Amino acid sequence: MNIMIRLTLVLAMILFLNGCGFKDIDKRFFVVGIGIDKSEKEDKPFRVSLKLAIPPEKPGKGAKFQVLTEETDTITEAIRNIKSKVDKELDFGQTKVIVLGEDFAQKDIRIVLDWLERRRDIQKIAWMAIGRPNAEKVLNVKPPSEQIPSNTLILPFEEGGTESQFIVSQKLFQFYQKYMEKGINAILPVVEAGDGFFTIDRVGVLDKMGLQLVLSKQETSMFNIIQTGLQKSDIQIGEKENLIMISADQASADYSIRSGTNQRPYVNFNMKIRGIVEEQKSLEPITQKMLNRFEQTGAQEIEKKALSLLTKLQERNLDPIGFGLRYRSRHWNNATEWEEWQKIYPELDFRVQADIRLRATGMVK
Amino acid sequence: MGKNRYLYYLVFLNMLVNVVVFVPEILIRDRFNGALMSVFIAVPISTALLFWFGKSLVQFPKQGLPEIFGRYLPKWLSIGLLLFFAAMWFLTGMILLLDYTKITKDFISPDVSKVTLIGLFLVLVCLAARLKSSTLLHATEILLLLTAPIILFILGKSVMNEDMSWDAIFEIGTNVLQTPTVDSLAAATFVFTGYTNMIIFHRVFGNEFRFRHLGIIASFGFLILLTSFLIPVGFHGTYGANRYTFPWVATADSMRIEMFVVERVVFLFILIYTIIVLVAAIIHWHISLELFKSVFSGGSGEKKSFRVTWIVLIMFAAVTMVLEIYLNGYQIFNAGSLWLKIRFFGELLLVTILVYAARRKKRA
Repeated sequence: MNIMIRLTLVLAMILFLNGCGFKDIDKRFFVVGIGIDKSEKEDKPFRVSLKLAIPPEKPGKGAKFQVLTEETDTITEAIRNIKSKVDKELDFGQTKVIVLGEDFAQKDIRIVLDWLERRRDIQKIAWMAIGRPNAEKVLNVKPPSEQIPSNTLILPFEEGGTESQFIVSQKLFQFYQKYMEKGINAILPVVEAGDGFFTIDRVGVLDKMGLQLVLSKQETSMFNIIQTGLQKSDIQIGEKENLIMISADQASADYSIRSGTNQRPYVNFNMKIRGIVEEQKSLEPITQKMLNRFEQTGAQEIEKKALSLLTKLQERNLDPIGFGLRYRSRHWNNATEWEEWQKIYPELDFRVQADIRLRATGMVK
Repeated sequence: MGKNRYLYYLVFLNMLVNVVVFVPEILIRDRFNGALMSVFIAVPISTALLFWFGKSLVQFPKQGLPEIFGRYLPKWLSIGLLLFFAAMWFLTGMILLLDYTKITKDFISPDVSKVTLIGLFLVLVCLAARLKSSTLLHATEILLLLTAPIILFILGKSVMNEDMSWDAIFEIGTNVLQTPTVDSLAAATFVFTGYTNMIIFHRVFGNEFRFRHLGIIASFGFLILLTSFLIPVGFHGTYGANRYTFPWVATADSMRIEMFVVERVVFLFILIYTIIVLVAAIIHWHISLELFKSVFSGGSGEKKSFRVTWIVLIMFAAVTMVLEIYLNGYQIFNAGSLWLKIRFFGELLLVTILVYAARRKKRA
């Protein structure tokens, strides 16, 4: 009896095993990048580009890829159409880069974001970016040094690749977190397509609809210092023969929002920069006195730059640093705090205090 | 060497599976309406229940619930209650399997039909649930010791993650002064309920068995609750977290391991949780099976007991399979949150009756 039942169960398990829909790796096309642009046609708003990796014939022969584009009414339809153009199954499990065209991002990204979050096979750790002039061009850039398709676009965003003070990196889940949150605006790096290279040195700020503002290179660097702090950055101080470049190994800021009953609310900003002199234009040896002067004038300049960035964001009513969320998280009147903050933010004062210390003058005085 | 340590594995197992039985989903849904307060209240309530349960149970060395009920309750009440608790434990295992099949289907093998998946799970769970209680305890120990380091790694990685928004977590913190809801209280207390599995497993513990280190269980459960509730909020924000159907799967998918064979933590997470969920389902169905057996084949021969075992297990499998085929994600969630509430009141009932039985024994 017992043996009979066991045998039946084993047979039943074998029955379960057939009809498995798994596809081999050589029957799959790996989508390494998704690009979404605005299309010119009224009834087909999405121009979807998929970057497909083609495996090299021999290992180390360099990256080959193919970009296929479709214009449709829904993203799903575009992907279905692209599927009928290729011989293998599309696999989104390796998608590492999602590029939104600049024109597209300015209009309305809500549907695309919803689609990206809804698809279970798209990694939440895929990098998001805005493509200039459009996403398709960015996906089509082929850097000569590239060994794995899309790697040149992935590495700058990772900790392992280049470290630049102008690069902001955002993963899909981070973007969604900020996008959904009350009190912080989402940001995305802007990637410019060049001839065989990318330029990533700006950050775009988005509200609930789409791209509202693209910061300049200098502002992006300042934004990075304020938002996350930088471990490696170059900071310019002074002009003409007084100009020096600081190689900072620490540049960070912390802030607190003060709102009393009898005073205008303000944000206290403390910035801290530590570094050494890397380049100077005066061609004289740097003395202790000069070093002190650089520290002082430098602090003033940094304060001015930070203030101008903060007021610029405030005037546009954008809050990528998350003052609103900080305000919400430090106040207990949960029902009213958000309305309160929306009144406070346009009138907020910023008090920036920068502190620069130059540790040394480098190998020479 | 005492066997006391097995109690902690049972408790720890239920703490870990909270992620799969909608506890974080419910807490996150009520995040502005008293979820955090429920967490704070759940700790003393559960510790008190655990204390009374333990104190009463050790009065009956080497006995399970059927033996205790049989001696101190009228027969009709005893049978009714045993059937009720058997159904509760069956439902726990069923909800675990239903929900986890959905997760596996979505993330590991979208090409395999859900009937195949749950079929394989059911075969494994039903075959293992028949084993001896002591065998199951030993297996639980080994599997938990194997998986615990990886779970600690994932937890550590999430807490230390730079992309966590601590401001979002503090914002939830400022919502602490809200009236707790029944839903979130029932969800929060689930984390501590591993001890109730002793109603059957107590049979294999020795005379010297005692409930000890309640403080450690309470504080550990509290930490697990906070992490399973607040880490998804830190990753996805106070509003974003509520948009996910499986907050913890989304959270695991938001982490990456830079230097490892696979980059997506979600695969590691699902692999580990497959083990934990299956072990938990086996444990719960084993208890349910033993309770059913005590009602339908109490004291009778080997042959009848064998028949009851298979009838009950086939019923378990059939019900689970049918529900898996007909229920969608929302329906499973609603069933799960209703089950959590009934389970909470069932737990209160269980402890009350045990305390009553222990007092009768003392008086007698």
